[in-house]
Amino acid sequence: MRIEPALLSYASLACLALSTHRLRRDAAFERLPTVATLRGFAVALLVLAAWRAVHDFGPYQGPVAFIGMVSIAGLPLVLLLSRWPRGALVTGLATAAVGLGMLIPIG
Amino acid sequence: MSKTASNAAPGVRQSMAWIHGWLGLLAGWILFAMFLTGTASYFRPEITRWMQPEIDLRPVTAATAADTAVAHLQKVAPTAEQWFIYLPDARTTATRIFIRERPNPDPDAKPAPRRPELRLDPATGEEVTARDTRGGEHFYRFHFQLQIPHPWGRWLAGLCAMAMLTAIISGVITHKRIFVDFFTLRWSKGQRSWLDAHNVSAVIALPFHAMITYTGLITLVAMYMPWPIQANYKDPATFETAVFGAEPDAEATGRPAALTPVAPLIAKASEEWGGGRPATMVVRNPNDATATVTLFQSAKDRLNARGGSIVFSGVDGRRLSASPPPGPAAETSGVMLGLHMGSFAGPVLRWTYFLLGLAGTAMVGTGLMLWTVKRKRPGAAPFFGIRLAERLNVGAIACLPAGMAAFLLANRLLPATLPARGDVEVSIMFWTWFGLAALACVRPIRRAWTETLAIAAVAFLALPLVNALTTDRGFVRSFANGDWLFVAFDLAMLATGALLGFGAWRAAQKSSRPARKPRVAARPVNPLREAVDAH
Repeated sequence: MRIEPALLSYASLACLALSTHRLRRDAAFERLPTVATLRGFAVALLVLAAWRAVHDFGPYQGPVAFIGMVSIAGLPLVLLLSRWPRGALVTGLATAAVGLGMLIPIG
Repeated sequence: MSKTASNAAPGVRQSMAWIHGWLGLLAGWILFAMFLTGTASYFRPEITRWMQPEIDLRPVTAATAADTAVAHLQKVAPTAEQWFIYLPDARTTATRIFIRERPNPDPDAKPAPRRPELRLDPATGEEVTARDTRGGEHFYRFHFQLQIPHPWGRWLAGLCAMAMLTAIISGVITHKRIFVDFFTLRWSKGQRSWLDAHNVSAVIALPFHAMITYTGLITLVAMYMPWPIQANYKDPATFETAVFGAEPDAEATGRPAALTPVAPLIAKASEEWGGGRPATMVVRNPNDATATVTLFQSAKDRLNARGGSIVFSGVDGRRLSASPPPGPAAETSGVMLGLHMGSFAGPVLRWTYFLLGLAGTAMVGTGLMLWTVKRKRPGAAPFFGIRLAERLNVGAIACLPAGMAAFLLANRLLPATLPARGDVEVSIMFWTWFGLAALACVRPIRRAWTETLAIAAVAFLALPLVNALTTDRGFVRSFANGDWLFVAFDLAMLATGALLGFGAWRAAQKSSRPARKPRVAARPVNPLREAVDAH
């Protein structure tokens, strides 16, 4: 389906969201990585998403796919965060797992 | 920051907020319609296929389709001046042909009536008949022509696009807390919620909004700003030739010569284009000694939507000429057109474009709502401007979707043999849209929202049912047959109906709920920041 960039972008944006003060308070997780760690994860996932988009869609369509999918991933994240902040962030873990899992076959 | 600079910055923000609010409002209703119909146009061929359910063809190679089309044309119009053959692909399964007859040499004779475009089965070359409809082409044309006579529709669309571009730039300058508000969406908080929704839909898809607006303007820039071309080329045809190459224009000699087989020409062209496929084939003077076959490259494989062309001799298949390699300006404009139309996009990217387009529609819609909500004073009767804007909001946001659903319903319910059927479908869309908007004007505003959104929701939810009752391609059968276009269409209609139904439900809740008092005492806020943020 070639939607790995969208899954990884969702996870990246979820990390960024969790690094903001308000969501760290609202989500009420007992233990959280530090803000710096979360931002590091976010950047790493975003780089992976960009690489995967270029890999899947080629050097010309890749950037279009990457920017489009980062934007698209943000919409469900914000909608979920507005109602179920914890669920939205846990979903981020799931999309990260699925997105990274889909990278494995090509190494 | 110096005191002077910190004083100056809010001034700029406030004036930008003013521009953003008023330009957004004035162009907003048309922009909403342009965004919504433009978004639907990403599925232009699919909508057309849904609107002609009689046609259910299997894709074949371009060479086979070209061969069968030429065989058909040899039978029906061997002496025509030109044959236009639009080759099918995975999305447009029928071959389309158009014949241009040779003009009558007698200058006093009445010109021959224009032949209609025909559809062929690409596997057999047999003519395919189906109900007359404008199909997805209607939404596409409306998106930039607004059903207004040429050139005024395009000019109005262009003015609105310019307003949109200004609104995007002024909106970015106004909205200083872009990253802080990035993940913020609060429900049921009146003006705050509309502002959040407007910010989120605008900021998250900002690259798309900026790209789609700018490239949309560039698509018609030669019309909006013709002066550079006029200054450099006395004859517009010279410019066309310089950019796109010379069209063959040899007159027929009257000496018959058999037309060369076209399949090898397609193979040669594809090789020259590095595997690119042809989209259109134009045969000039078929069966004459001066016959030529021009192949135009498909935009499906590349970002540049304007592909090259190669001219072959129609007698011996020799390559005669080709369009010049595009210069930087032509390449840039072609890529911008391609980015706007997303013609290169496969299924995943096309859905991405579609969802981004919906985000753009939501951005315009929430911006329109925000304008009225923030100006209403609790307890006070709204002044005329607000009442007008509210009614126009209902007319655009709720009644246009109802009109679009009516267009699709009319396609299924009108008799297949009705004269000028395609035009009647279009009329029904506009009568429903504007009729419903007019009716909504006589209802209290909250009821108007609930009722029009509910009507639109019911119309969309009815589509799968009406489709199942009037065609043999209902959901269950389509699912069993693996007819994924029809399955996806039904699901998309149900999702749209559910979304509109949700809107109707929210509007109904709001109209029955008494105004709430704030739960906590209002925190002191910086009035200037509130004013700027509220835009």
